[in-house]
Parts: sequence; C-alpha cells; structure tokens
Amino acid sequence: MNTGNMNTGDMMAAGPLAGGSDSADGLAGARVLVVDDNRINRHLLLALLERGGITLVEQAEDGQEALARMERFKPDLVLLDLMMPRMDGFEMCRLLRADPRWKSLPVLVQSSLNRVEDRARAFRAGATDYVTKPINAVELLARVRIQLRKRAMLRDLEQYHSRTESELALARAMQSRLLPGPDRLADLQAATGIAIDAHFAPSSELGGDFWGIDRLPGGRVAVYMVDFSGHGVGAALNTFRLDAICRQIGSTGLTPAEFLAAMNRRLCGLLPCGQFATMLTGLIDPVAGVFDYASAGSTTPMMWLPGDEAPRLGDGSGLPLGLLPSATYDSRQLPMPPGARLFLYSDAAIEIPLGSEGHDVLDEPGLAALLARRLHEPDGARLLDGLLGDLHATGPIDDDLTALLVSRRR
Amino acid sequence: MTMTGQDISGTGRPQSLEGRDPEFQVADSQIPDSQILDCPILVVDDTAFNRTVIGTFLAEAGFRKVSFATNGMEALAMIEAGVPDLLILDIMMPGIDGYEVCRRLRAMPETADLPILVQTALSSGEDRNRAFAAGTTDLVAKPLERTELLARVRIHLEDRVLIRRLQSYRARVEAELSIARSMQEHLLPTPAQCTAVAGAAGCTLRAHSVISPHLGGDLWGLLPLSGRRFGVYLLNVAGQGVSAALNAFRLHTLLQELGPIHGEDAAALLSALNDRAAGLLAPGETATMTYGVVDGELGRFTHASAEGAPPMILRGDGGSDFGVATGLAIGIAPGTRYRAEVMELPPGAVLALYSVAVLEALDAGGTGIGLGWMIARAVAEGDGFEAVVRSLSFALGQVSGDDHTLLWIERGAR
Repeated sequence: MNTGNMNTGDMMAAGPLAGGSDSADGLAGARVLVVDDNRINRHLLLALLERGGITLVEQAEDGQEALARMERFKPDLVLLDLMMPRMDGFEMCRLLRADPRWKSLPVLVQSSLNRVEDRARAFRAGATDYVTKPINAVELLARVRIQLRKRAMLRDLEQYHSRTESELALARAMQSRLLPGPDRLADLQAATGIAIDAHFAPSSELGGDFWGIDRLPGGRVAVYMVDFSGHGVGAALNTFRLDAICRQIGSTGLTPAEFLAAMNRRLCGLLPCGQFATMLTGLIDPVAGVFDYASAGSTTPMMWLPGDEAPRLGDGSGLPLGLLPSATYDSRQLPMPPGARLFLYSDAAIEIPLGSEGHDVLDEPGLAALLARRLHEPDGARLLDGLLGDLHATGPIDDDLTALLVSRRR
Repeated sequence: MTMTGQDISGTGRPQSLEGRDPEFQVADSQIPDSQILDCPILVVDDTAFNRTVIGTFLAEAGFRKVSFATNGMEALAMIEAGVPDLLILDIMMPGIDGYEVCRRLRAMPETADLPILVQTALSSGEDRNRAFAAGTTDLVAKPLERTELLARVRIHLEDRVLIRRLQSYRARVEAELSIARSMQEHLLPTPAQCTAVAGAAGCTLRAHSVISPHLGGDLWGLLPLSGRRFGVYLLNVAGQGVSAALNAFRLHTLLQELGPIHGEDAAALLSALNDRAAGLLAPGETATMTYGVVDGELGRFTHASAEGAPPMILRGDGGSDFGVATGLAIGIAPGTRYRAEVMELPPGAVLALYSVAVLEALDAGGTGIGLGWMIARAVAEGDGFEAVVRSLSFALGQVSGDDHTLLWIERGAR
C-alpha cells in the first residue's frame, strides 16, 4: 500500500483547527481507534488526531485485532482502513453493526479505494462516513470532530433518558400502588355488591389524579376522587400527600362535607401558592339507597337508575381545596337504589376540544350525551371502554384522565 | 414549504398504568422508516438538472417531503418559514453562495445544529476545508452517486430524529422535575421562620440544604414549642430521585399531623411516625431521622434517632460531643420504640445536624471523629458554618446530584 498518501501540506494547514479547548463540546476524553495495516499511516493519523486535541488513541493492524480491542478500549469513533489482511474493513464494519453495543458507533472509513462501487459497498456495510486518501488533514479532523460531538451529545441524552426513565418507572409503580387494586375491588364487590370499574391515565409518567375507596360500618362505602392542578411529577407529589392525609383522618365519623373541610384545612397549610385540588367525596348508603356527597369544585357527578334515558346530573360546585382555610362545603344527595350507577371523572373528560379551531370543548352536556348512548350496557368494563373510545374519538386529551364507574349490583 | 409536525414529543398518552406506552421508550434506536421518510429535506441548487437528479434520487428512495430552492436567498427565506431536518446545499451559486448560507445558518440558534450536506464539484482540499470551516456537516462530491448520497442522507436524518426525540423528552422531564423541586424546597423552613423559631430559644439557626435536580429524600423542619424551646428534625428517605421525594412528601405530611401532638417528646414523635409510616411505605422503603428539642433555657438538646447521623455539639472550649441515641430506621418495624438522649448545650456551643451524605463526604470512616476534627478546625479558623459548607461543596462538588443537608444551631452566649 502506498504510504505516501498523507498530504502533509494539509497537515500544516491544520493550525486553526488544532488544539483549543474542546472540553465543552465532547472532545475531551474522546477515544478513537485507528485501524490500518500500515504503520506509517497509523502514526500519521495518530499525530493528526493529537494535533486536533484527541490523545486517547489506540491502534490496530487489522479488523481482527481491532475487534479484540473494542470491548476493553470502548472507542467513541473508529477510523477504519478498508484493505487489510486477515479481516478487511468491510467485514469489520458488518461485524460491528451486528453487535448491539456498536450499532451506533461512528465508523469513519479512510481508504485509497475510490471507485463508486467501493464507496457504496462501505456504506452498505455500515460506514458512517468515508474519506479518500490522500487524506486532507483539515477535512478528516473536521469530520472526526463532527462525529464525536454528535456522539457525545447522543450519549449524554441517552444517559439522561435511561436514568430518568427508570426513576420515573419506579415512581409510577408507587403511584399505581396508591390506587385500589383488583383484589380490593373484588373484595368490595363480594362484600357490598358495589362494583367499580376504573380508568387511570396520567398524561405523562406520573399524574395529579387520585381516587380511593373506604369500607365503613353498616355496609356503607366511601368513594373519593381528586384532581390536583397541573400534572406530572409535581402534581404526583401532591397525590402522595393527600393519600397520607386520607389515611390520617379516615372517613369514619365525618360527613363528606366535614371530610372536605378537614382536608381543605390541611392542604391550605401544605400547598404552595397557586396549587389546588378539586375533590368529590361521597358515601354510598345501601340501606337508605342514597349517595351522600360533597364537592370541592369537582366535575358534575352523573347518576342513572334502571330505565333512565339520560344520566341525572348532580352538583359538583364548591371551592377547590387549598385556597381558603375557612371554606365549608354543602352536603348533597342523589338517589342510589339497587341497580343505580354513578359516573365520576376528572375534568380532562369534558375539556376535550371540538374541532381544530375555536374554543369549544365537549363539556358536561356533551359527555352526558355520549354516556346516554351506553347507559344500559350491563358490563361495566365494556361501558367504560366504549365511553373512553368515544372520548378519544372526540379529540386529543391533554391532561390526566381518570374515570370511575360505580355500579350498585344489589 | 410545509413542515408537518411529527409526534416526537415523548409525551405519549398511555392507556393505563400497566400498559407501557411505546412513545415513552424514546431511546430505542429503531426509528420507524416512515418517520425518516417524513423528514422535510430542502435541496438548494441553482441548476435545474441537479435539482431534478437529487429530487429523483430522494423520491425513488421514498422521501415524501422534499422542497427545492434555486438560490441562497430563497433557501434562507424558506428555512426561516420552517426549519427542515436536512439541507442539501450546492456551494457555487450566484448571489449568496453555499459558504455564506452555511455561515448564516450557523449563526442562528434555530439552525445551529441543522445537518447541512454540501454537494460540490470542488475537489481542491482548500475549498473543502472552507466548506467545513463555514459549518458544513458533511460533503459529497459531484457528480452525485446515488447510494452514497442516500446513505449519508439517512445517517443524518436518523441521528436528527433520535436527538430531537431525546431532547424533547429531556426538556419535558426537566420541566416536570423543576416544578417538583421547587415544591420540595417549599417544604423547608424559610430563613425568616428559622430566625423566629430559633430566636425564641435564644439561638441562631443556619441551614445549608441542597436538593438534587433529580429530586431526593432529604427533608428537615422546625416545630415551634412553648417556652425557650423548639423542635428540629432532619430526615432522609433511602434511595434517590422521584420515588425518594414521594416518600419524603408522605413523611412530611405525617409530621404536620404528629408534630403538634408529640413535638415535646422526641422519642414519642419517632415512635408515632414509625407506626403511621408502616401503612404508607412499601417493604424496603425506609428513612433515617433525627428529631430533638433544643432547650435554650436549660441548655439541652434532647433527641431520639432512627439511624440518623449522630448530632454533634461543639463546645466553646473546642471540644466536641456526639450523640449516641440509636434506633431502627423509620419503616423497618412497626411498634419500634425509640429512646431519647439528653446532650448538654452550653452557651456559645454549636449543635450541628447533618445528613449521612455529609458524614460520608467529610469523613470516610463514618465514625464522626474525622468530621468533628474537621468542624473544630473550621470553627477555629473563623466562621465555622461557612468553612464547613465550603468543605462540603469541595467534597461533594458543586454540581453533585446528591442531596445533603447541614443545620448549624448556635446557642447564644450569656
């Protein structure tokens, strides 16, 4: 192989690109593996890289030796010759691409082969870039730097992603443990005849929606649903607070209105200015056949009885929690005889935009109309699925969405 | 030129907690072909023939959003209306040439990282160098060779799509975490509260607390008590990141409830907190904690510890004492009963409470002896608190991701 193919004139022109502080753009600590069977070529490339501020360089004489060094050296870029004994550059490139660890590693081919077919073959084998010998030092360094910077940027982003992804997955699992699981719901239904079908979909990994149930003496069941302002991690922190408070004060002995007032006083002391929550909490009393509830600015509860043509709308008005410590809440009631069903939902379900322009949203009448078409679907899960399908077909849902269907089976 | 918004936001809408939404898995390097083929490409060439050749290559390969400009001015105007994902640029053009287009694009933040693939008939090294110096990402020689052009186009677009996905994921998560972090800061006493609560007991309180940008489980707080006394706690939830913060918020909520009831009695507070926490924390989720009452009248610090780092009292004579109260971490065993220990806090003495991270940073052995020596020396050299904080910053690094807290309570000299 012709060793005189390094254009040293261009080497001298490397001045403006050489050296300099590259710590900020990913070149500091960059590792480059030079693969070339010609020792003089290797040394010229080494010297060139060094002038460019890249000093962590290892060399290999052919593809086999290079592959053997990969795992230990973990290069950020490979400068690869094509024509080499034992294993050539094409083969080495193919082998690298077949290995998940090196799938996205930049491979810059430097070769004296300059036929169209050779270049095409190198790209097909997985080359990232290709320069022809004689090497233009400035161009080679420029290309090496472009690849290394991109690599450093990607690695940084990927590290951030994998770290936060696993952290958020952990937190997401914690949040899902706050909610009643299938076992508790099955127990509830067996003991009280009250079946709950639930849908919980935060708009990102974590959300600010929260719901729960509590079994009380006399076969009564407390059910509550909360929607914190905002979404994401911050709103999720608040759901954990609320869960802790719920378990402190419990619902025994308090009317729903008293419960909301107690919750409100505590949240006023905890929430930063500007954060609040809407909440509806109610007691299903199977003996009296009523749903006693109170609402802090929640959505309108919808209740229907066997034979109803449309859901009956309750009253969700009330001051949201966390705004005014002295707030009090009204006690309200809806009939809930056997066979009655109750639908609770976060405001994401009624704030779905209608059409791409204008400010019209689905709103409560729209939701009630969608629900009316499915009132007497006997299977709760199917009813909820169908309704959610209707909602997604209506428009994009940009907030945490929670929906609860509570059915009195007996 | 129309730029169609692509769903690369990383803010997918999962259907349920259990069903993993594929859009969250943004780092999977398998980018669907359709996404690459939908990337807008702008071809700039003054020769109709070249535009046709490049356009044909791209169309045959399936690229669906290819636009054309016939000169530099037109290209810049089109890019201003909407930045493409790749620019294929001719160098020799009348008016604004390719070098100048490159330079102007690189000077604007929106296009600073736009991949620019320059196609040129120039073969001299100097011209190629000029192109790179102007900000070219890549260079292909004319006459254009189909396979090589398409390979390079694809490489640039795949990287672009991947980087953009990861960047928008990061921007979204960072925004979420930054809100959460400010909420966590909001849990901590304000300087005014420190002054009022500690001042009522004749003490000054200075705090150094660093909350990781990824969030964490460090928390501390004050309980105003009657007389010349106040309660102070410092807790650290095991683990890190969001899940540790979620549990810190839970424990904070419990402490708001329990503080007014048990604040006078350090051992009772820890016992009650541990019992209540059992219903909230999952197995394996624990927290270390120290709670104590500073009595400015009697000159005492009465505290109990759930595996918290030992409180240190630095006397005016330069000597130091470490607390020896022990107990299981919160969340290990419900029913655990803690015992309080009394330490003397003479006038002029300093009570230092610190998270385990501080102990580990300043005292590799974890015995506290090194820490005591270090703090004593820092105090001897002047403002002890400032000196210790400086050493901490040095040991942990200014950008350390770890939470750490140091509370510095000085009893006034009489």
